[in-house]
Amino acid sequence: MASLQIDWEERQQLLIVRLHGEFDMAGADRFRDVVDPLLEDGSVSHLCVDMSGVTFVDSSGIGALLGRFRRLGARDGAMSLVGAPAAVQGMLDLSGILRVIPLYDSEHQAIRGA
Amino acid sequence: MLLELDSRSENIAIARLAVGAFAGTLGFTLAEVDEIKVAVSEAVTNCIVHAYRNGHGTVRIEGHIRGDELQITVSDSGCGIPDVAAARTAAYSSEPDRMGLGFVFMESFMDGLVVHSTVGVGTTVTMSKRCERQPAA
Repeated sequence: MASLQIDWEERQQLLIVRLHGEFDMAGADRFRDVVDPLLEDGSVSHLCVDMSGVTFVDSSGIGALLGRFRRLGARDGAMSLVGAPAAVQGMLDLSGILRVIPLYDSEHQAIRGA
Repeated sequence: MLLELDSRSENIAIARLAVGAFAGTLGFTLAEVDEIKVAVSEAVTNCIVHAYRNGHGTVRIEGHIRGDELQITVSDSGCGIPDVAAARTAAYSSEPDRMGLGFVFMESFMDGLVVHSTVGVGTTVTMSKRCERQPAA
């Protein structure tokens, strides 16, 4: 059973990834397996990760987000996070990742803000 | 409680679930149980990623209740940590794509954290957290 369910949607240069479930080491591995091939050809300039369905996150999940941010940043791409529940947002805040990756309330705001 | 798991990432959720249920018997709030789950998740992840380097091994998780304190011990028989003080430093990581925040989260969410490690023998992480509330009758 996969701990993290992942849906995604590509809109030209925008990639929206929606996460549901627990974003731990197993989830981080799955996240990389799904997202990295989608970033492979370099056509994505904005990765928007919708966290509203995430029920748990630890440093493995946060590290996977940071890794994709670094990868996109190396080619002047942007990354945003959306809708993290309070406990998840607390973890993101504590990690310091929100100092470099903006968190928005909605996908609409994230797409406009990027 | 005593739980022994294979060092596989799929088992981290089982460790969280078991320790969360065990902690719940002591009267911790849901938020506190969530914090304990993060600490356990980090400790077990360290065993898988660092101690066994994604190879095969056993992760042992012990839980004890001593008065109003929960004590969780996570141990492995892996490679050990050469420099525990450095490993406990924020942003220290020997792996790419990782933040080196495992011990930082453990320290943030638990009241006590003791790490014993011997290179080539293994590592034991003991975490404790006091419960301010009494369990429901």
